Amino acid sequence: MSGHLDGRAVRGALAARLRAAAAAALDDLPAPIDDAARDAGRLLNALAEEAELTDDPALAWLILVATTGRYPRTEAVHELHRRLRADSRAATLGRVLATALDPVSSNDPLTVLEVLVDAVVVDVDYTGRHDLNTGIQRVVRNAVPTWAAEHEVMLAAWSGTDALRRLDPIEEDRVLRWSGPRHQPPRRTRSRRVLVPWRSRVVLPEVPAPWLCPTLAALAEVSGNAVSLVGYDAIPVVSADTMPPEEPERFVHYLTLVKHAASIAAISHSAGEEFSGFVDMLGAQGLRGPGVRVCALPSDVPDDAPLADGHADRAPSVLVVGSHEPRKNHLAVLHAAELLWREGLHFSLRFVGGSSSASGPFDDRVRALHHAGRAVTVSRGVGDKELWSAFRNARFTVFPSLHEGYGLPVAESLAVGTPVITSNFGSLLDLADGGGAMLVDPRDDAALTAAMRRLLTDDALRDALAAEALARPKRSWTDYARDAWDALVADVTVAAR
Amino acid sequence: MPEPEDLSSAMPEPEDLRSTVEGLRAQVSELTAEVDHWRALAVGTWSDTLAAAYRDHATTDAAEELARVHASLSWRVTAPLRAARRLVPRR
Repeated sequence: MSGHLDGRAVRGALAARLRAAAAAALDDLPAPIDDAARDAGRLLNALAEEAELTDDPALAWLILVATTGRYPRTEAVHELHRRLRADSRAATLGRVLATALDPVSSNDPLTVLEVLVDAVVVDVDYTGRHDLNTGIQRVVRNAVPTWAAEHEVMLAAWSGTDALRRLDPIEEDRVLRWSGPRHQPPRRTRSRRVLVPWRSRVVLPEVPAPWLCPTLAALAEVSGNAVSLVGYDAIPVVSADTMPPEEPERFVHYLTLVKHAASIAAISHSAGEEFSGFVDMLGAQGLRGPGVRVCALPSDVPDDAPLADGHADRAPSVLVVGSHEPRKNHLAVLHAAELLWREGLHFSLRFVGGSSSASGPFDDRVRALHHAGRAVTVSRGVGDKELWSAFRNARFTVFPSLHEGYGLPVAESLAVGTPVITSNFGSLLDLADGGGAMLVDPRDDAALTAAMRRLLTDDALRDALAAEALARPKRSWTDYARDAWDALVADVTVAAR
Repeated sequence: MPEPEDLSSAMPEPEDLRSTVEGLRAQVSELTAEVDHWRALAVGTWSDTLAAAYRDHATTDAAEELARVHASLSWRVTAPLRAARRLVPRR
């Protein structure tokens, strides 16, 4: 908070913000004058006049950004747009300034705008601020560096919950040069410098937090920018029964944004069908919804991935990768493993993945098995190299998920030639189609146990599946990044003025 | 329908017309300057008010923070130490 503010600094900052906005939006930019209050008044008037002439709500969005220093919500934009058409300009602008007086509804009064015209802004807020490296963050850390190397992009995170800002160096490293956890706690950094996309493309390769969705929905609907996003899945609504109760509600906020997006790059055919289904429903609301294109994720092994360590004398390792949530069906894996240990089979079971709010039953079961002397381990916060090593050293992996948008651990296991036991439907069935996998009904414990038993005891079958896996056609992260760029940026049109 | 010569007599002299236009222009210019002035005054008052509101906000934040410190367990636990220190004469 600014403790030593004076009016002169505040009106100077307002004039500078309005000038940055007017420079982007107006053909005839009023000449600057020394008196900041007078300059700000003229610029505000010129922007309002343009909004009245063009009847473009995007101008109302921009006026609100310039006066408050934060992105507005849709209702505020509609209200200003209507007032500019119906009320006197002076009264309307007076009202805008009055709203901006409230410290709660406006940003730091000395906020500076960096207006980006015809740019590509990529929101990598979560991946930049966190060390977590599961599904979505891995997509971001593999695709975004290619975009940044091949195109001009502005990587952005959220300043509070108000507006986008540039990344700090640590955040940029986490996104562009990931080399494992930085062990820095996530911070919600506030920046006085705010990014303002104008007639630009805003790409969301993450699923934004629900509290950001109303602002992003306004960005997609009324700012004149085109928002496109990577579509991972609709699991929180389709499989709400396997999720913590708050997840479906969070996802509904996300759908409010999705309906106003310009384009979705779905990560699998299965995810594409889910999002297309949602878009089909939007006709009932008179909305066209985004275009949906499938850009299937790759199965690429990085050059520096460690090779298998060749310790053939150790107990065979069975690997399970994924966060510990009910949908991943890890309790079924623990159950099958316990039955096989009781049969006298000798193997270790390793889980790699983060916890979730619903990890309790899984953690309890692992603890009980551990006390019983079973060879079960759980690794959290694992770096890339260790993960690839785990894939390579496993006899096979198990991924009997009940619902996936894609199933990255399946693709990665197959990419290094490690067979997989996975589910016989949805995106996992699509992935298994290329060979190297045993399919089971994940709701059938006996079938899962039988499949694990076979891969633990039948060397010929295990080797045949490994050979099939290695023979699968390769698709690299660069291939994916380029396809996704076309779907999210190159083929997306920004509405003309 | 008036005769052409009547119509021409109704037309103002070019000199009068020019003077009217100039008068109107001056009026527009004066009104624009006035609007400019009032707009600037509004922005000036707005910015002074906003700066004051933020100063108050910051003061309130500081006061609340101080109240939180005074109410904290560690502040209360260390009260005897501060009291003892007050008894020791300063040199």
